Order: sequence, then C-alpha cells, then structure tokens
Amino acid sequence: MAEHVICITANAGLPLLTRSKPGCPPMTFPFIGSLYGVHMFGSNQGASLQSTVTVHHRVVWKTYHESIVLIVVAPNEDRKSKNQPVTNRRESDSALELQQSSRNLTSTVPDDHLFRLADNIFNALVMLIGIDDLVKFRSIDHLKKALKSSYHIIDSFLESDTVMKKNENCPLFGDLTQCVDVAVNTEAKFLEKEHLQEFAKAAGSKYGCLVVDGRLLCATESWWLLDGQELALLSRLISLFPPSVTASDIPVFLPNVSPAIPHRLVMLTLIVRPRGGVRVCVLCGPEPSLMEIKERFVQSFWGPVTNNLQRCCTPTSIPDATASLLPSDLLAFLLVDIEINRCLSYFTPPGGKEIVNRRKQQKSTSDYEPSWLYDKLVEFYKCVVGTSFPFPENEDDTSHDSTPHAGIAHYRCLRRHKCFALVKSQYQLFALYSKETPTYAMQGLTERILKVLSKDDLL
Amino acid sequence: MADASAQQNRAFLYTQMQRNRGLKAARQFALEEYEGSDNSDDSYSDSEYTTSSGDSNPWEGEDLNAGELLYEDEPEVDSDKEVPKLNEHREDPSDENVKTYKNARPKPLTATGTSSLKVVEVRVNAALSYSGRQISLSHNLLASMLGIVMVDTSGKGKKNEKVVVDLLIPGGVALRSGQINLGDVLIAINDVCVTARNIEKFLKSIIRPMVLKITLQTFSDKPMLQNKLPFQSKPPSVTARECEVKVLNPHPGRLKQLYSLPGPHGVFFLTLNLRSETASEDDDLLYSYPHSGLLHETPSKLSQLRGIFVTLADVMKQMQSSEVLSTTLIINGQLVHCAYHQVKTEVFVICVPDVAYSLPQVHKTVSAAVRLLNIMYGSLLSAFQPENKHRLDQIFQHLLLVNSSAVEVTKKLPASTSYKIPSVRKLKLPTDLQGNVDAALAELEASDFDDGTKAVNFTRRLYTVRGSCIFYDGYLLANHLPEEDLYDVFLYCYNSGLLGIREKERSGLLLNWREVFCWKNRFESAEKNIYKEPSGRYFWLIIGLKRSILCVLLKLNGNLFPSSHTPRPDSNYVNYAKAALMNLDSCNFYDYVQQRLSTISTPYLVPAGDYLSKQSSFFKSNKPPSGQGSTPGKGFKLNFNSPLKLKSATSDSDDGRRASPSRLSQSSAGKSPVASNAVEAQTPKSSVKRLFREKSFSSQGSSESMGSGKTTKRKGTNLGMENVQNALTTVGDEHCYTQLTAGNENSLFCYLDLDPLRGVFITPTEFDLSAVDSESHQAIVTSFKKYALILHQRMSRKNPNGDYCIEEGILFKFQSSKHQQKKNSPYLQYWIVGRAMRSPVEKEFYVCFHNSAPQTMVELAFKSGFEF
Repeated sequence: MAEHVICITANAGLPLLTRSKPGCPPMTFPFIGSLYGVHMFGSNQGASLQSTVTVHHRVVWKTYHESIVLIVVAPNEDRKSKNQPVTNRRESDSALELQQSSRNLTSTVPDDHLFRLADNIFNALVMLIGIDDLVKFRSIDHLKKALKSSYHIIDSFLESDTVMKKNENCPLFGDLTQCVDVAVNTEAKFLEKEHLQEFAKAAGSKYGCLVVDGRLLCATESWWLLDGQELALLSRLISLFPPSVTASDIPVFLPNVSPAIPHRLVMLTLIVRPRGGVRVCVLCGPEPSLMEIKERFVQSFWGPVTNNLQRCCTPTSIPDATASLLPSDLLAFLLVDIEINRCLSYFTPPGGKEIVNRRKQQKSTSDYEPSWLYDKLVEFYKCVVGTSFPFPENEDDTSHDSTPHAGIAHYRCLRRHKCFALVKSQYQLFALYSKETPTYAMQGLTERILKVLSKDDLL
Repeated sequence: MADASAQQNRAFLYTQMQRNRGLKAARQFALEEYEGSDNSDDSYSDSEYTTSSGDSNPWEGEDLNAGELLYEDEPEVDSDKEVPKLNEHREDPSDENVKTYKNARPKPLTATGTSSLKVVEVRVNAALSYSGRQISLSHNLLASMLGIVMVDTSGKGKKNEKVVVDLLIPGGVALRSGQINLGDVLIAINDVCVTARNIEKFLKSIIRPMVLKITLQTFSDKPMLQNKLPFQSKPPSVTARECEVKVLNPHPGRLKQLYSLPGPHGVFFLTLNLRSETASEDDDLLYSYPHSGLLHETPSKLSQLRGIFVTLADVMKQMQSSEVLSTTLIINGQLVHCAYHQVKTEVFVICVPDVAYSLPQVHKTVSAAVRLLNIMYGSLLSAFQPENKHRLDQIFQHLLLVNSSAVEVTKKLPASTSYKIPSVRKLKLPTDLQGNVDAALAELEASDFDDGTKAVNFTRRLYTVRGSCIFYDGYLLANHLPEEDLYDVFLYCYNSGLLGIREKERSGLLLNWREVFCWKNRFESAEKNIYKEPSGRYFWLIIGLKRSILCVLLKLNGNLFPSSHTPRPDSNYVNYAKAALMNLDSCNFYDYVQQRLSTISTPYLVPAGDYLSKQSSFFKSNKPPSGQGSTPGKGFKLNFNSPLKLKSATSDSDDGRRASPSRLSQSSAGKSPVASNAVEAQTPKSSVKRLFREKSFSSQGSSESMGSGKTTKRKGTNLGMENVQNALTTVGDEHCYTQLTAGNENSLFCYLDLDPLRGVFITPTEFDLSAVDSESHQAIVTSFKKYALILHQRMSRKNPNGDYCIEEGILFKFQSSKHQQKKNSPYLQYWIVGRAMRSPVEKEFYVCFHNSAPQTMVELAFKSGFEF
C-alpha cells in the first residue's frame, strides 16, 4: 500500500523513524528534509500541505498533536509496472506523455485512503509507546529507541500486499477499512458464551477475545466497545507474533480510550498453527500475572474445548456450509459492517469448485492467484469508497451536507475480472467475479451473497 | 495596331479562361466587387503601398499584436453600417446563379476593347532589390523591384513593345498591392511612359526608397472598377477608422461582473534556475495571474506559497527523477488543488479551490492550458514572454472560468461549457443539413485551387487550406480537420470565450488570425512509413458572424517569410470564409439549425420527476432485481426489443436516401430566389410536423405508429426517386421513435456519446434537457456530468501490461431535497454507467438511466451507434 513512512518532529524536523518497504530504494536524507521543509514552510505561511501527486508517487503529510508529522509515500496508481522503452520521441515529448498518462486514475482516487494509513500508523505508535512519550518527549534519543519496538507493526502496514506472496497468509483488510477482520464459525457463539467470558472474568478483565490467524473469532461485549481502529490494531498486533510465541504480556495504550494509561495485553496461544493458530487475549490490569493465568486458567477453561477450537482452524474465514451457497463465479469478497466496525473477507480457494467446471478452472484459476485477487480487491475498494460510497468516518459531515445523491452500487468490468460493490443498510459488500460473469447478473449475485451472509447474523 | 490586336487577343484569352470557371468563381467575383478591391497590407518588407481606389476592409488597419489579429466589429456602432452590407451580400450572390452568370459573361467579352486606366501607388526600396541573392536578377529589375515578370521575350528586340504583366512574383510588391492583375499593361511609372525597352533603364534610375505611381491599362470587365477609376486619393486608413473598429481586449469589467472564482486561485510560471546571490525576491516569478506586484499590496497567499511549488518540483526531479503533478493544500480552511506542468527548469502551476474544481478537473485543465499555450506560442517558454503578458491574462481569466464547475460560475456560463470532457460537443444534424454544411466547407477548402477568379491573377497562393470546421452556438456542426487539429481549434475558441459566451448575437464581424503550432506536429511519429507532411507554418483564420464561427487552418508552404514575421491575413481567404458563412446564412441554414436546436432529438429523455412521483406504484409493478436470488430475465427483454433495433437501422438508411442530390445541390448552391423561397416555405411546415410528432410520441413508444411509418417507407422504396422524396417529405420527416433503453418504458435521463477518433461527443441539447426540466432532473444531470468525468478519467487509463477498465457503473439513490426531511419520502434510483469500446472502433459511451429495467451497455451503445 505504501512504500515509505517517515515520522518527523514537527518543530525541529528531526527524523524519528523512517521505514521503507523492502525492495524500494531508500530515501535520501536531503529528500526527507525537503519533504519536511515544504510542509513546515506551508504551515508557517498559514497553509497546511495535504498531499502531492507525482508521476511515480503520492505523498501525504499529516500533523498529529502539533508535534509529530507523518509523511507517507505510496506508489502512484497509474504507475506502469515497468519502464516502457521510449522510441524515437523527443525527450520533452515523452515526458509530456508520461505526465498526461499519469494523471488518469490517480486523480480520481481520493487521498483519504492514505490518510487512513497515516492514522493507523500513528495510532500504532501511540498503542506501543503511549501518547505522552510520543508527543511530549524529553529526549529524542530515548524516543527513537522506544520507537524501535514499533518497526515490526509499521513494516506490516508497508508489506501488507507482499505478505501474501511470501507465506500464503490470509491478508487482513483492517488497515484499509479501519474495521477489524473477523472470522465466522459456528463454534464462535458457544466458545464466547461458555468459555471466553468466564476466562476473562477469572483474569479480572471485561476485555477478552479469541483470534484465529489474525482474525477475530469472538470477543466479549466490552471488547466490541473499542472503536474500529483499536480493534483492527489489536488484532494486527496479535497476529504479528510469530507462531512460536505461545504467551506474551505487553503494555498497550488504547489510542482513543486510554492513550496515556497502559493496559496489559496478555496473549496465550491455545493451538499452534503455521499462520498463528488460535490465540486468546485479555486486556487486564496489573493482576494476575502471566504465569498465574497460564497455569491456573488455560487448562481449566480451554482444555475441555480443544476439539471445538481445532474445528475453528479452517482455511477460510467462513464456514463451508455458507461458502457452498456462494455463486460459483465469485472470486473473492469483502464485507464491511460500518456500524459495528467489522469486516469479513473471503477468497475462493483455487480449484475449490473444480468439479463443476473443471475446464474453466484449468484455464483461469492459474491467473487468479490470491495475491492478485487481494491487489484487485484493494484497488476496487479504493476506487469505490470516497468516489461513490462515503467514508464511514466522514459520514457525519456528508449527511449534513445537502447531497441528495447516495451511491448504493458500483461496478467495474476490467480486462480479467469484474467487480461489484453494494451498500445495504450498514453493510458494504465488495465482490470480485471472474471475467465470464455476465455484467447484468452481478447485481443479483451480489445481493444473493449479501443475503446469504446476513441471514444467519454471521457478523 | 498590330500591338493593340495582340493585346486584345491576350486579354481575350484571359477572359475566356475566366469564363470557364464555374459558379464559385461568380460568387466570389461578386463578393470581391462588394468588398471593393482588397489590399493586403503586408508589414513584411519596407516596401509599402497605398491604393488609390476602393475602400479597404476595416480590419486592415488593425495592428498585429504578437502575431495575432483579434478584431471585432462593435455591434452597436457598426450595426447600421455592417448589417445592410451583409444583406447586400446575402441577396446578391443569390441573384447570380449559374444561368444569369453565363448570360452576363459574354457581354464584357465583346467590350474587351474598352480598356481602362488605373493608377496604383507602390512603395519600393531599390536597395533591397539589389541585395542578397537577388543580385543575379539585377538585370531584371522589373521582377526584383516590382515583382512583375514579363514572359514574352520574343519581342525583346522590338521597339515599343508594351510591358505586359504575365506573372506576379509571390510576395512581390505588385502582388501584394492587389491592384495589379495579370494581363494588365504597364503604361507609365511616375507619369513616364515605359516600354519593354526602357523599363529596366528606368528602374535602374530609382535608387532611393520611394513611392512609384504606376499607371496600368487594364482590360477588366468590371463595371465597378471603371466607376472607381478616376483618381480618388482618399487614404484607406481614414475609412477604416470611421468604422469604429475595436480590438478585442480583456474586458476586466465585464468578466468581473460575470464572476470570479470563489476562493484562492492563481496561475504561476516559476523558474527553478535562479542564482540565489543575485536574485531579488520576485525573480523566480516569471508570470503570475492575478497580479500581485501591480498594486504593491500584500501579495496573494498562493504567491507567497510558491516556494512549495518550486521546491517540490525541484526535489522530485532531482532526487526521484519524477515529475510533480499536483498538490493539495488547505488555505484558510479551504481546500485548494494545484496542478503542475514542468518544462525543464520551469514550472507552470494552476491553483484553484476545491469548490470550483475537482482534482481530475484540475489535471484536465492544466493539460488543456499547456496544450493551448503550446499551440499558440510554440512552447511554454515563448508563451511566458513579457510581451504576451496582457494576452495571457486574458486567456487565463477565461480559462479558469470556463473550466470550473462552481455553481455560481456555471450559472452564468453558457450551457455548452458544462461538460468538462475534453472533447468537442457536436450537434447531431439531419443528414441533408449535414450534407449542406459539409458541402459549404468543402467548397471553401477547394477555393485555394482556383485562385485566379478575381480578375486575372494566375499566381501561386501563399496558403493552402488544410481544413476547416464550423461551430454554432458552441456546438460543432461540421468538421473537416483531423481530430488533433480540431481539438486545437476547439481549445482555443473554448478558452477564449469565442464559443457562445456572449448572450447577444454578434452582428458584426469577428476576425481572428494567428499563427499556430499544431499539437500533432510536436510528436514525431515513431513509424517511418507514415506520411510526413512537409514542414511549413500554420495559421488559423477564425471568422465569426452572428452565432456561427468558422475556423480555417491554413498552411504557409516553404519559408517565404522569416519566422519572426507574421504575415497579415490574406483578404482573399477572409473573404472566402466570410462568403462561406454568408452563403449558409442565405439558404437559411442557421434557421434550420436553430430549429434543430429547438426540437427534441432522439433518443428521447424522460423527466426524472415522473419516476419520483409515480414511485410507489412503479416499484410494485416493476420491481428491480433484488434478493430473489435471480435476476428477472434480462435476456428475454432484449429479444423483445430487437425489432426496434432493426427499425432504427432502416430509418437510418432512409435518412441517407433523403438527402438526395437534387435537394442537396439546391440548398448548397441555393442561390436562386426560388430555391430559398421554397426552403423558407418548408420551414414552418416541417416544424409543425415535428411538433406534432413530439406530441404523438410523447413518452411511450407505441409500436403501432412505428409500424405504420415503416410500411409507408417500404412503399416508397419501390417507387421512383421523385416519389420517394415526396413520400419522405410527408412521412419520412419523422424519425422513427427510438428508445435507447431496454424495458417497456423509456428510462433514459441523460447520455453522452464520445467518439475519441473524431474527437467529438454528442449529448442532449439544451432544449432536450429543458423539455424534461425539473429540479430533480437537473440534480441528476449535474451528478451525471460529475461522475461521467470521473469515469472517463478512469477509462482513459491505458496500460497495455496491466488491467484496464471496460465498463464502470454507479447506482445512486436520489432523494429530492424538498422531501429530505421526511422519512419515507419518494426516491428514485438511477445508474450512471460508462463503457469504453475498443473494437471495432474506439468509442466511449456514458448513460444515465433509471433502475427500472436492467440494461446491457453493449446493446445501448450499439443502438446509439444507429442513432448517431
């Protein structure tokens, strides 16, 4: 999603943190200095610099608490994957053409997606360091050292699209949608009612949740009271622990609820799987200790339901019974519930429906790798939200704004796939279909998917 | 005596040749007479001349500002002078159709002997005639000094052989005077008798720059000239001044009243290459609009912020080898977009507030501005020279206004500017009208072949006509230019406010003449096989009369003039163009167009308000596909509609037949009063018919009436040509009612048909929209315009490796603002869909329709192909 993240103090311009996506050429110090310089110059003149689009990049600036400036550099949407050979054209003209062609898609995708990313990154910093240390720091070196602990989570934002290619991980959309990724399983209700609540209570907390491979399976009622960003960040944090970590106990600051006072995030791995497995988390006070929880409660609360927990470790985020109801042309979908800040994503496993249309699959499945689908789903989301669908966080503004036109569906047909997005009450559904799907059928299909998903109150 | 008969023979020959020219010649000839003798005052050399007869064109006296002539008659002052003159034109050529011309012609022939004398004064500079390469010609001073060539060398030895003008050298003094014609005989210079014998000797004696009074014997048959022959010596400049001409200049008052953009805006041209030690504060600012330096007040916020633009541009270029495209800022709580264009070390920036411009719009505007400046001045660097400042202010003032979509501004702007798609809006004309206007343009373009029409003047023309196009009220009527050149012309006219920005009709003449640097010539084609045009200089001749504007692209071949010099408009071309416009006027073409603009055109739109009011019943009866798990058979509906498609095809071919040759020639040549009367007589009748048709097909496509229309046509085809025409004028004037959308009811709210190959787009006319006008419909159309631009922007992303978008659609739910408070207020759902087709021809198509019946875009676009 982004290539570089720079964090600079607003007053002195001291770089606190610079992270780059692996494979991208690192940014030189003068360049960082210039980016900071123009922003500061603008703010001294009473103008706040928001964003800039260049032929290759988009850059956004955002100031937090008047002390930290985040600069996010992302690739331009129109950027060609490879430099195309320029033939027989004068230099100025080829540059001119490049300028023209770079203006196309980029200008229609709003900057807000990158601002969201910047917000996520800032909140991640707050979560790990606390607002006081971040904003009112005393020693820059101390802060820099403290920020090192956040490299891992920031890198995960930068690598979100490459992570899939590496280890076939299920991608998370939390940073894009500012909602928490959830997994749906029939066991969830039972586990929450019978075990999770009791477990949290025993640990002296109202906040507890079960996470499967980075997705939230179930959580206590209080946990759901956290806002979408916090939920998404906590899940991301938990999913970042390597599978070998079986228990951890770290202080976290909740960016919106308690940015200054830390809580303990206690995480225990119940079932180990290559992608993270099933983990139970509680947010609690100083008592009880990790050892105490681990030894006293884990076995007693979770031992009896190991089989149920095993059953939750499905490769897909929705139960097979539901998946079988989905249309066969569906490649992937992303369902966002903007009211309760949850999102559910699903990728049709390659070759999953080979019995029905084996021939088609043989031709096309190889094209639709999950990472490609993920890229397309993200691209579609960015094209739709902010253009025809409102941003959930801005919705209060737009409702006052007297715009009587509200987008309720949006589709795009591209060279290799088709996408359809639908809004219904609090749901936003983004679906990807194969190229063979008739355009006119997409609305019906998408409505059917939404109906299937909302029928059992899955979210 | 023998000499005299030789003269007569020669004159006869010329006249004979002239007689063989057709109708065009006659018309132009007549026109020339009314125009009076024209003189192309050329500031090129220091040779100048004054004519002693005839009044000049009023614009001749105007200065050429930075290579551009922008001239406009002030309608109020000029109306009493100009209008009658126009009327004369209108009537006169119509009197003179082919027959009368032929009858009239022989008469002067018999009177060839009645020669007449005329006096032309030319200014010559003898020194120039000897200089440079022309030194070799010094034995032929007649050619080098006066630009006259006498071919007849056989008579060299003869005494008293007269000096006959056999050839005129292009650019020579004689040709530019416009008074000396082929076949004339030089009698005397400065009242000294000259012959072939003594002419060289005489010219040798002229060593200082001086005015020569040349007396010529002419065998012209123009009665007018004879009247004028007596030596009148009224300087033409006086008559020009009397016309109260007024150069178009920026009217600061007028546009300020019109509106200025809300919020901060500005245009800057900044340089990155500045020596810091010697530079003063404002040295990096090569140009700015609005001016900051003038008033010595606090410079505008944006101009203070220009450091950001410069730095960003520099940093991105130096360190990322990338170029900056746009920046978004918040100034005083207002979102401001700035778009850049970088040329080497200079940056061109346009800053506009978000309320007036969306981000894609700013990008489009900056591309357009860069192209426009390149067309006008060759490059951005030469555009932003200090001497152009005034002109640039004017351009940017218009440009920022016409491209904005701020509500306050668009209300005051003509409706034609409301689509921000970078293409030309075309008016779909009935085939016969289209044929007429195309014929008129073709005729104009052909006029550079027969240049000798005016008197007997067989010289090469300076220019060749590359093409022309005609606009009416902001609509493109016809175009004979390649699409890149068309877009060049359009950009210029659009952004100079020539296209219908004024409310009242232009009664005087608008003349715009300037050198252009065609955009397509900037790009050298990669393929070597493609034909490359020889280099040359291009000029625009833009003539406006009443509500129409005719643009002609002229090419000056070779390197006749040094590049620093811009020749003045050639009065021949101006007159041809004017004649073309007036010819169209004389056959009531504009009335037809006006009538076309005030009738509803297919495909018909349906008012959105209808759906809003009949909401409840509508949804019960015709439920859109929803959670039923299946879509109500789209495919079946299409099948039911297929006869409709067929019908549109037949009506199309019938249209083509209707533009029968006889009618076409009648109205294109349309000079006879009978013909024009007939045309006039038809006008009300057909308008009544059209009105009737509208009523009968108001909103429902009743299949019965369509069927009847079809059978009549079928009958017509079996009969002869005449009958077909009769049948068609009675019945066939009605287009078949065609409904673009599928389903029982028409559900089309708005459409836009973009043809990138021809560079034009077609939308409903203002009348179409006003017919379905309502608050809700307006709101929907506004939203359509906005999103069509976004969709267009996304479609135009051409990435051969990656994905590209073929079709994109958005479904909106619209609630009328009146009912917004109430909970269960009526609403309607409409689609805005765009589709790009790459085969068989490249085309983009945008529609806005109600969500009642499912549509397939392929079929809609296919149908629209038959429509247009």
